[in-house]
Amino acid sequence: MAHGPTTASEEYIEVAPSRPGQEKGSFTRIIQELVFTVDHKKLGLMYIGSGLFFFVIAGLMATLIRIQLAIPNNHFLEPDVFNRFFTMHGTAMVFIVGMPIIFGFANYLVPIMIGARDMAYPRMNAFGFWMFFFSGFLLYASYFAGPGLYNAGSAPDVGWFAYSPLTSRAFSRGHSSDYWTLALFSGGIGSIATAINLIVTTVSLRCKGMTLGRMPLFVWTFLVVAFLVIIAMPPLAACQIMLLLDRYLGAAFFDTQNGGSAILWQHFFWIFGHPEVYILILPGFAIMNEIVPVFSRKPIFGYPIMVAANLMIAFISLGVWAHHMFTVGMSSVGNAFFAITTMLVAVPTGIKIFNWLGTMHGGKIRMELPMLFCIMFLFQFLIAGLTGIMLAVAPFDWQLSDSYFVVAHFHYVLIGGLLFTIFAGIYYWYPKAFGRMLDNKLGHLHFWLFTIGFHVTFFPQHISGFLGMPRRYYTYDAGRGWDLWNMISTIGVIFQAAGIFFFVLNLIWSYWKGRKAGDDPWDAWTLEWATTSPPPDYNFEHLPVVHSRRPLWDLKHPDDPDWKYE
Amino acid sequence: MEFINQPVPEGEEAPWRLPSTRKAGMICLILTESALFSIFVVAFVFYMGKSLNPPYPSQIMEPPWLASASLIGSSFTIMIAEWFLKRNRTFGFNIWWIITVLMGAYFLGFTAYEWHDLIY
Ligand SMILES: [Cu+2]
Repeated sequence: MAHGPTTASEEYIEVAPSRPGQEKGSFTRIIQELVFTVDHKKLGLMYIGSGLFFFVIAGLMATLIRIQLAIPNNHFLEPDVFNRFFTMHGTAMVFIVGMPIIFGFANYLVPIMIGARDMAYPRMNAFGFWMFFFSGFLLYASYFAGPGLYNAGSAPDVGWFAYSPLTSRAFSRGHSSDYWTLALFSGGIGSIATAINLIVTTVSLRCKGMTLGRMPLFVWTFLVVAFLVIIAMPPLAACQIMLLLDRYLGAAFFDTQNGGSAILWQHFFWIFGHPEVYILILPGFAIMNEIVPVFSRKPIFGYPIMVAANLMIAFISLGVWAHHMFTVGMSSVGNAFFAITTMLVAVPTGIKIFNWLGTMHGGKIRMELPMLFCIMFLFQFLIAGLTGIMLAVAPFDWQLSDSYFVVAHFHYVLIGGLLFTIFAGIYYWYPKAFGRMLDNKLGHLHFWLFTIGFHVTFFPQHISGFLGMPRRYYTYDAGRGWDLWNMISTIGVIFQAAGIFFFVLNLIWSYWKGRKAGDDPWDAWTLEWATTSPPPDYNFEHLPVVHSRRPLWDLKHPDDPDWKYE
Repeated sequence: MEFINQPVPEGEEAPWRLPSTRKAGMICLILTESALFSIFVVAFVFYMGKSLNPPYPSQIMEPPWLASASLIGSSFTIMIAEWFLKRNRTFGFNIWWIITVLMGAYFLGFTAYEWHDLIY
C-alpha cells in the first residue's frame, strides 16, 4: 500500500503561520482552497458537485413541467413560464449538468488511471472549471437580468436548440436569448480547454509501460470524447457568434427576411448537437467498461474491438446530424444518406452491448450497487437504441418528429443511459474519493425508487407520442387519449424525486458515517485503487510501472500475471 | 502496493518516451481553431453571391491582398526566426522576429481600418 500518514502538504500547513480565518478546516480556509486549487481531484469533485447542484434545480423545473401536464387544460403554470422551464431544463441538463459531471469523472480519474500526478495543464484545468461555473450562473442570471434595458423578456424560452427565427430580435425581445448564447459560448470555451487538457494528459503523461493497448478503456473512451469535444464544440461557438452578429450588428445569417436561412442554423446547430449526444453517452460506456469487468470478476471481453467501436461511433457521429431535420424537407438523397449513417451507428453500439454481455457471461457476478445500475443501463440503453433506429427511418420520423416519442427516446438515452452509469460511477468511486463506502440500504432505496420512477415517467411517453402528442405543448384538451399516459408520467416523478432524495442523503450521510473503505474495496485492477483513499495530492508516492491492462491483478497475482497472456 | 519489486516480463526495459505536451497541446489547439473556422467558411461560401440588395461586397470591399500576404507570410518569418534562435544566432533572430512583428502589426492595423471604413 502507498504509505506516508502525513502528506507533504499537511506538514506544510502545520508549520505555516495561520492568520484568523486561515485555520485548517475553517470555512474561509476551505473556500480559499477550493478557489485556488489546481488539483485535478479537487476540480473533478467540484465539477461533479456543482453539476449535481444544477441537476437538482433543472430537475425541479422538470417536476413543475410534469405537474402542469398531469391533467388536461391545466393552468398550474403560466404559458410563458412553461416555455422558459422547458428551455432552461434542456439547456441546463445538457450544458451545466451533463458536461460538468462527465468532465468531473474524467478529471478525477484519467490522471490516476494512467499513473500521472496531475493533468498536463493544471491551471488551464482550473480555468475550464471556472468558465463552466460562471456559465451556469450566467444562464440562471437571465431570470433576473434578462429584461435588461428593454424591460422585456426573462429567461430564454426558445428551446434548447434555439431554432431561428425564434431567436431574432423581433421574436426574442430583451436579453433572454443573449444569456443563452453567452452562457453556452463561455461554457464551451471551458469545455474545449478541458478537452485539450485531457487529450494532452492522455497522450503525453502516461506512466512507464502504459502503452495505448494497455490503457484502461475508461481512458480510451474519454480520449475519444475529448476529440469529439474539440471538433464539435467550436462549431457551436461559431453559431453563437453569428447569432450575436445577427442580433446586434445587422448581419442576416439566419434572418429569412433579409436573405438569410433559418435552415442553416439547424444544420450548424446539429453539426454540434449530434456529436454532443455522443459526448454525453460515451462516458456512460466508459464507466460500464470499468465496472462490468470488476463485478463479473473477468477482464473485459474484446478489448481491441471496444476501442475500435469507440472510434467508429465517434467517426460516424460526425455524419448523422441531419437526422434531426428530416421534417424540414431535404432531398431524398439527403434523407437516405442520413438515415443510413444513423442506422450504421447501431453496429458499433451493438458490438459494445454484446461485449459487455460477453464479459458478464460465465463471470462470477457480484450484485453490488454499481453493478445494479450498470445492468439497468443495458436494458434501458437497448430500448433507447431501438427507438433511435426507429426514428432514423425518415418516413417514421415524419410521423413522430417533435412528439413525445422523441422525448421518451432521448430521456431513455440520457437518463436510462448516461445518468444510470453516473450513479454507478458515483457508487463505485465514492469510496476512492472520500475513503468511505456509500450506505447500502439508502443506495438500494435510491436504486429501486429511481428505476421504477424513471420507467413510470418515461415509458408512457412513447405511447402518448404514438397517439400524436407534440412535445413542448403547454396544455392539451381532454379526450384525445393522452390523459392517462400524462397522469402516469407525472406520478413517476414522485418516485424519481424520492430516489434522488435518498441519493443526496446518502452522499452526505456516508461522508461522515459511512463504513471505512480502505484502498481497494472492490478488489479492482486499475491504478486508482493502488493508492490511498482519498489519494494524496501527488497521487502516487512512486510512479507506477505497468506491464498489462490490469496492473493490480499482476501485483496481486505475481505467480500468474496478465502480461503472460496479452 | 508497490510497483517496484514486481516480476517484470522480458523486453520491457526499453526507455519510455512520449510525445511532448507542447506539441500535443498545439496540435489540439489547431484542430479546435480549424473546426471553428470551417463553420465560418461554410457560412461564407453558402452566402457567396446571395446578397439581396446593394451595396454588394464587390462594390465596397477590395480583396486585401497585402494584408493577407503579410498575415500568411508572418507564419513563415517566425519559423525562420525560430531557426536562428535554436542556433543561438541572436542577430538573425532579432531581424526576422521584428519583421514578423511588423507584418502582424500591419495586418491588425489594416483590419481595424477596414472595419472602420466599412461601418462609417
Ligand atoms: Cu442525433
